Amino acid sequence: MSVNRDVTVLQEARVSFCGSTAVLLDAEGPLALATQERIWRLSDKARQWEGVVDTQPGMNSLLVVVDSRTADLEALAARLRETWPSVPSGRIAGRLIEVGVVYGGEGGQDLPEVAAFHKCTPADVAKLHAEPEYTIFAPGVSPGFGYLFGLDPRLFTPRRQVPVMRALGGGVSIAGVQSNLGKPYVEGSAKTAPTGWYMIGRAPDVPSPFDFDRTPPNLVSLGDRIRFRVDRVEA
Amino acid sequence: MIEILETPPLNTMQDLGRVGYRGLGLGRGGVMDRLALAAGNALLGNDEGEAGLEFQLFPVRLRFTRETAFAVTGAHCEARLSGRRLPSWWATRAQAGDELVLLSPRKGLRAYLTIAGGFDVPEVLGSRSTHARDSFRRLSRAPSCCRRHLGRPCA
Repeated sequence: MSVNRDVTVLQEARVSFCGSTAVLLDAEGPLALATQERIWRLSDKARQWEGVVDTQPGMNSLLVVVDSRTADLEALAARLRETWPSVPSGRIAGRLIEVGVVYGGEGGQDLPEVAAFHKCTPADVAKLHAEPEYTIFAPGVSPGFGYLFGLDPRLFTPRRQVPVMRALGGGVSIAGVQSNLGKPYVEGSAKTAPTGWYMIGRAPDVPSPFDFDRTPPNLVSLGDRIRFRVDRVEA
Repeated sequence: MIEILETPPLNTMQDLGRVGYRGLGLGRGGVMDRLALAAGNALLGNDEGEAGLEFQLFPVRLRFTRETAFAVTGAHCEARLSGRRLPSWWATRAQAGDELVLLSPRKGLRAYLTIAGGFDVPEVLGSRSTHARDSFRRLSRAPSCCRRHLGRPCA
C-alpha cells in the first residue's frame, strides 16, 4: 500500500497565489522535520514583513496573508522565493508533553478496523503508535495540538472515503501519514463532528492547549513534542 | 440596548475578523459581506470595522430599549420598524420601544444591523467576531447574547 501515492513531492519550492490576499509557498521534498523547522523560521520572519498580516505554517507549506488594500503580491512572491533557500533548519527547543491513552473501546472504536487493515492486533497498533515521539508540525483547523508528525510508516492509513461522526474531546486518531490529539471536550459545545480519520484511542487527562485568559493564549507551540503512553488497550 | 425577541440560530455578532492567529489554528472569521458591514458603519459615522449583527436566517425580531441610530445593509430583506417599511441600505433612528422586524430576503443572503457608536461587547484577541465552531465560550457568546440583550457585555 502506498498512502503517499497521490501526494506530489516537488523537486523545487513552488510559490503560488491564493486569491488576492495570500501567497502560498510549497516546500520541495517530502515531509521532514528539517524542512518543517525552516518553515517555522520563515513564518516568524515573514510576519515581520511590511504588509503581512498573518502567516500559517502547513504541512510542508507556508501561507502568507497580506492586507489586500496595500499588498504587492508579486513582490511578496519574489521575496518568498528569494528568502526560502537561505532559511536555516535546526532544532527549535520544544516542550515534551506525555499523554496517557486508553486505546480502543469507547472513543477509540476504530482500533479494530485499523488493526484489521494492517493485519495485526489492536495491541500491536497501540504499541506502534505509542513508540515514536511526535512533533507538532502545523496548526490544525482549530486551536489545539495541531498536525502531528512522526507516525510509524507501518501505521500509515488512507483516510476514509466517506466521513463518519465521532466524539470530540481527547480523541487520539490517525489518517494518512499523520496523527492527531483532540483537545479536552468543552462543555456546551458540539459532542461529535464528521471526520475521515480513524479514532484509535482517547486521552482522558489531555491538558487544555489553549486559554483565552492567558497571553499568549496557546499553551502548546509548533515544535513541541508529544509522547503517547499506553495506559490500557480495550477490546 | 437592544433586546432580541426572536431569532433562528447562527445569527451572530461579527466584525472584520480576528487577524493574526492562523498560526494558532484560529481562523479569521468575520463578516461574509465586508462591504455591507462597512457601508452600514459609514452611514452612521462609525469606523468601518465596528462590529454589527450578521443575520443569515430569518425572521428576526428585536426591540430598541432606547433611542438608537441604526442601519440595515446587505441582503434586501423586508425590514419594518414598528410596522413602517424601511428601504434597503438605509439608516434611520429608532425610538425606545420600537420593534425591528427583518424577513427572509428576496435578493442576497445576509443582512447587517449596525448601530451608531457600535455594540458594547469586549474584544477577544482583537476582535468582537463570534467564533462558534471552536466553542470557546468567550468567542461564542454572541449567539446566546442575541437571544437576550445586546448593547452591554454579557457572560
